[in-house]
Amino acid sequence: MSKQSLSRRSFIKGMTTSGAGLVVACQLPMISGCAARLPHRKENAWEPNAWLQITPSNDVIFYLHCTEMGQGTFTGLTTLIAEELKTAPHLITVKTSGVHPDYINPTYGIQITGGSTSIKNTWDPLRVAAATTREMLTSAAANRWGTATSNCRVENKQVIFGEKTFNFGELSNAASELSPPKNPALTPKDSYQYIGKQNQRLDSKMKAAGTATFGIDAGVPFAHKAALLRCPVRGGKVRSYDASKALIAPGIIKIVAIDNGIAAIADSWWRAKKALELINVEWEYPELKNHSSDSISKQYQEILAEETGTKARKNGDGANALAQAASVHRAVYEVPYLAHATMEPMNCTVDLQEDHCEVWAPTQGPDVAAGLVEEATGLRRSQIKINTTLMGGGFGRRLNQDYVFEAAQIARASGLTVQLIWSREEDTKYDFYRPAVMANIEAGLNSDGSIDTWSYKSTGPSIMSYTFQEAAGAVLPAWFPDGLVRATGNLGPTIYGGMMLDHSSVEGSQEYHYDTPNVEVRYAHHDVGLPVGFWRSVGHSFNGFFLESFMDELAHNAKADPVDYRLQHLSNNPRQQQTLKLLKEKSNWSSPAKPGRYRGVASYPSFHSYISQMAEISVDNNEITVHRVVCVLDCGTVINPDIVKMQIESGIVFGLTAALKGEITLKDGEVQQSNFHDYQLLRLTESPEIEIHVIDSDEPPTGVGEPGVPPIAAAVANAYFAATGKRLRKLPLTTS
Amino acid sequence: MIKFELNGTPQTLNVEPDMPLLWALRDFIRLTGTKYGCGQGLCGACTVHLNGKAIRSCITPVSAIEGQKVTTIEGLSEDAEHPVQQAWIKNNVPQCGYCQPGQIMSASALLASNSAPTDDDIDRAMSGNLCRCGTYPRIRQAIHDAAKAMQLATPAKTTLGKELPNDLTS
Repeated sequence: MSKQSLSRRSFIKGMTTSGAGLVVACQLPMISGCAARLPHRKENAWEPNAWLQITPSNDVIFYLHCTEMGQGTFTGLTTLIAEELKTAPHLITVKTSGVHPDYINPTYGIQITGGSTSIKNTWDPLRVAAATTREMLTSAAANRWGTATSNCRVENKQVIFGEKTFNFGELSNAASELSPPKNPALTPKDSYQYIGKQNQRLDSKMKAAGTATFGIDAGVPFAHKAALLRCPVRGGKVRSYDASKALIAPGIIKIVAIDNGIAAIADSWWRAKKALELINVEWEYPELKNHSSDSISKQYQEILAEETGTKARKNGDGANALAQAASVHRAVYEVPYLAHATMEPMNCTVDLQEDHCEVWAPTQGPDVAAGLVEEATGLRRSQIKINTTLMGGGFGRRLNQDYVFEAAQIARASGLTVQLIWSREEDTKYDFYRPAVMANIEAGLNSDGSIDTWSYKSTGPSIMSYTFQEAAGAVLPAWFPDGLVRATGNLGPTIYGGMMLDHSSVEGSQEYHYDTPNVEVRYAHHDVGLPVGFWRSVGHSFNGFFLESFMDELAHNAKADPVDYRLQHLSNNPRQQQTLKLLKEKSNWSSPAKPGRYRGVASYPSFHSYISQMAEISVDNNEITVHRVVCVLDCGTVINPDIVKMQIESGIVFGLTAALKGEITLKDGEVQQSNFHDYQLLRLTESPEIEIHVIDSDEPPTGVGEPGVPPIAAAVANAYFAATGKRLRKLPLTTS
Repeated sequence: MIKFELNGTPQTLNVEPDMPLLWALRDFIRLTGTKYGCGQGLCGACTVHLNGKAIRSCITPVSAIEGQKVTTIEGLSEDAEHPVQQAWIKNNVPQCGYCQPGQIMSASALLASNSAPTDDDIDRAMSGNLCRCGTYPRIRQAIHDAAKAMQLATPAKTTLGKELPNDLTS
């Protein structure tokens, strides 16, 4: 089976079957030998696999295939390599890899960084790759010394035997002649030098010095700058335009039309952006123009009332069991569209030559970028080189790469090397948003208040409809004609509009984590045409709020303590139960809160990790202040303890922005928010004290980038109920 | 022609007077440590020092800096040696790192005028700097740490104005 067909099959499987983090059977290949040339091959260097190179001058280079967007892959994955090479992480040179089949993320079948999978999916392959390399270097040294490998040890890029040493560089040629060991020995936990111990981030210094090169910096020395004038309603096209005044503005080099608008190209981005004001355009508006936020909410209500939707899960008698219940509790929950608001706006630099194209992009999916550049330029994929840069936040936004496609189109139309930079206003108004979703939840209760039946039905747009369109180029075989790739991609809305269930719409509800004999989960697709995408924690971002707020309602209905009521329903989920038990202890839940303070709890697993949170708030003049958050996490084996804590802190602050502030609204199809004054983020003054406890575990590592986000809105809403007796079922939590 | 001092060196710019300092720095002087985030003075990613005070370079026209002293993250120290940068590294403050040059310039301006800021002082000085990664708890801690480090490094003075030795144990 070819690499491409494997990619395609596992992509489709990964995206359509249940399992937040379904792992297909294929492993990342351990040793190179694949047909495709690695993207960074150096003369003279030994390349034992796709991740490592050892040069004769003893540079140990680790090619990082997962993007670094703040979540810590730069340090975390290097720590895995360091452990098995028995070499301090700071002695390893880290470079970003290009695109290659060996780097495909086995959860998704394409080379993407997302789904909190980087550590989870590389835990075995990277350790095996480094241990194999270590054993080959040790064998090469032992051969030279005429001794057994058991007499040699490895330390900081050296193999040592008594007083004698060889550095890795001196051994690399000889090692390259050896056959790799079949079962390299992985370091046991009690001998770890770096795993569970390495705390200092390797990228802190360059980020504190201001020398870290982000996508927006990459094109500065050599590229012209482009700014794009777009239709006020996303998806609108240019009907006609007059740019004659803009053409004579200072610094303007060229003005070109592309699919999404008119691009001004100048020697400075500010000049390009300013010249856009001088262009007159007549737009062809899309159907989205007929929709506003109020009407969308009404449409959702009608759909939930009228449509049965697609079944995602049914246990026991499903929703039918509601009729037998002693009592039934019902609620409707709702969340708005949300923008990602990465601090670094979308941007991309493209150097397009006749037979070659080089791209510098802050991207979470460089092979998707390559597919889009192929389509925009007409070049073959082998002629396209994608350089993944550091990025100023990702949060899922950079999985969708309209900005890469646009930059490539501008380069082709202008014949110039260009860097396209989006303004903050464009970044806010032309996102792939977190879907706006509404859900009906019903519970059939036994006479003691425990849950007999849990039934959930939601409606909203499907992320996969949009992603399928973009990713088609990356997953379909290279020999597929461009037209057919586009045609296949365009089937996305049809496929995910009813034929197939998009798991991301129901993730978390489909895996409902409480003990209940009868469960039914359904989803009715409805999309007004505003593009949606993966927003940190994806479906969990709203289902965490829905499920854990509703669970609190049930606990109060049963006149039970919200923690104890949850614990009673978690006997089949011991790891989740353990986080909640420890939270109860660490947050002093059983003692009364300080006067004027109120507490709420939420317990919600995601991305194979288990997490429970307590929020302590006060309410003054209907304003919610979050003072303190206590969090207990079980993410299996911890690689970098402080990065785990950073990610959970980050998730909590990110989730609090959504809980208290975030809302994207539409009026006549146009997004009403534009910049940080009307799409506000949590500020330092509003950031609570955060206390995190990580459970010691020998289980394999699981996700930490996203699991901090889903429970926090519910924990705050539940605390608000404790404070006021009022249940807030809609985000953001506005109290008026 | 606009003349000013940039990171201790005389600098000239031949651009429109209304061009924001941010874009003059990035596109013409090619110092990219100062970041674009919002263009409206709403996020603080573009913060630099003007005569030692923190300003938002995205809304400061170059005409306003004629004859003044501008310091960017590149000019704050040689090799991330400034106590604020050191505290940032020690506390693992940066995640994505994009907003951090602006955070560091705001924090270093605060400490230049207030050697022992309270939490309220930090709130006031730093509330204009957004961080989407949510590094706020660590920023607060790092500023307190940097303040302590700077107090130790700066010889304390007695009421008589006599300098005390840096290391009181020596």
